[in-house]
Amino acid sequence: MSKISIIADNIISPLGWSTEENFDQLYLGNTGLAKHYDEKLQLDHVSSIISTASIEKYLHHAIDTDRYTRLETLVIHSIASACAGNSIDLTSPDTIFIFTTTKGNIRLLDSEQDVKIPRNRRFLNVMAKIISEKYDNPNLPIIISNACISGVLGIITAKRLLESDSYKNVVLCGFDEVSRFTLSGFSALHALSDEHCSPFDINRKGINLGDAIGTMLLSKEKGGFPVDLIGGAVTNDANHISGPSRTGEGMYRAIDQTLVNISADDIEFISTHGTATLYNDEMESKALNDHGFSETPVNSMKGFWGHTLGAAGIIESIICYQSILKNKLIVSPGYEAQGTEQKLNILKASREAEVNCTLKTASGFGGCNAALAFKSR
Amino acid sequence: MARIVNTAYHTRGKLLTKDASATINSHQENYTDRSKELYKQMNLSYSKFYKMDLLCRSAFLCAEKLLAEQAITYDLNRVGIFLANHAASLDTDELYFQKSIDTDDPQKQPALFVYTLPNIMLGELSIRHGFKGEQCMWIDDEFNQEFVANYVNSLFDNNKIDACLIGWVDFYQNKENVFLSWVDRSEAKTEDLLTSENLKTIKNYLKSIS
Repeated sequence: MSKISIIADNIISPLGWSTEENFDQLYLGNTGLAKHYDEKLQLDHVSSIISTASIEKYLHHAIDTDRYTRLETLVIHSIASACAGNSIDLTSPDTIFIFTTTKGNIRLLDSEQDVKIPRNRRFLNVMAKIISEKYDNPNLPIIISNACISGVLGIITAKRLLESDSYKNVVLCGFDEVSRFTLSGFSALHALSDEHCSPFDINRKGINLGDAIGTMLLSKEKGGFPVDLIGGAVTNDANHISGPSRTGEGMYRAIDQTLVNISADDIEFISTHGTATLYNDEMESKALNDHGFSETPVNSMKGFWGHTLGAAGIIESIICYQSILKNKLIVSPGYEAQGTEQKLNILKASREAEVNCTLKTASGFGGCNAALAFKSR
Repeated sequence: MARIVNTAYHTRGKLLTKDASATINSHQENYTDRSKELYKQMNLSYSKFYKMDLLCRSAFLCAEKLLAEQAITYDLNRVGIFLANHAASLDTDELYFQKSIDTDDPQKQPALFVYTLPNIMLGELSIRHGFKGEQCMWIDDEFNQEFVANYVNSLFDNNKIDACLIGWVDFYQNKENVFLSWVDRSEAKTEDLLTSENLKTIKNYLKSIS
């Protein structure tokens, strides 16, 4: 069986318009988080929001609001950037688009937003078709909407579709944007921090939200980065629809099933979900400790980008394997003192290090957990 | 190849399994009432039902109908759930938006907000039935039988799961449109195999009664 390669990627966030730009900013410890105020909600919030000025500068023009929403525009550009310079035929029936998102064009519920866009684009499949048709792809896109594990689940799905010879190439794109809808909801849940979030820290108060789009191109035909996706698994806690399990048992099993082809001792870095809520971080620290990862370097990237929901699993996984390619570990922003019952080795500074094998974890509402492992070739 | 053991359908207030012998029915105008009436007719006792949004209720009731007589002897860590729908959680999203944002008198609705993700129904079914294996929630124009048959069969082939629930669970603007199938790897006749053709028959039957 020919190997599956990741051949290109792209991240769009306030920290940059490419994976390189984002990686460099993360290494330096810079954040996309800033203070904002929502007038309608009368809510002060700290979020990672791509500015209109930044979008116009990058596009060299304003968003074509007659045709695309802000989010669609960013998705189209993320895919275009990832595809530039490689010869994947997007118009081929052998190429499938997979989208991962939680809320898509949820802003369209607001009649004042994107007034010229047909309201049926609030349906994820309608939005997805707008994107895949833009690239003349003949297949119906696959859309995964599985809360905050959507992105990781998308990567696992892409791998399987290539392994089973269903397709030769996958364009995988995860996206979500900060919206009044999600701000209102997480605020009502008292899950939103009014300061920069601080995953795993003793003073953590909750999440920040963020805009992000992440794209990965995967192929069975073409060579790519010298890194392999060596495992991935998904589980459910069957415990609570909005609270993580107290025991971390579901996350433990996801990691366990991910490590079938590799020993836990080989893992040199873990990109956690690390939302900075009390319960998520506690649950994750338990699951990781139960696997003997108390000394393994760990970060959460939520302090750079906020929680980017359906994009999180994609952009954090990209950094997770880029850490192998670049032999660099990224700091975990916002962490000062141990805030979970069980100890973790949270990265207090970025540093160069030989990295061959990394783990990505994710968990979400609905009791879902997922994990992925990457290894250098 | 995996086998479709049984299928249940839920649409237009009806709740039935594939032989349609024990159909129950509610003619209530609103699904809030319709779902409650069906719940009572089934003599269920599960207080979480009343907290669920309407999408989750439609999935819950159909799963109760399907699994009532299904002895599940599998390791629950290896039982999956794979569902698809069209409207995601938009019915509840729009309700949340009306109550919490698009109003002069916004109310905080944290309990409702939790239901503004379509995979919450996978969580509800997991809690109810103890299924802890792999899961996925897909959004589509309509049930994509080729994709689901290929994907789920490959999970059985690769020994990721021993059994699963698959189906289409759509709820939007007072219309429930649901089928759920219980799938395992027991021996099967051709007409029960997890094939695209057999799933299409199920999908078409749902269309014919909705």
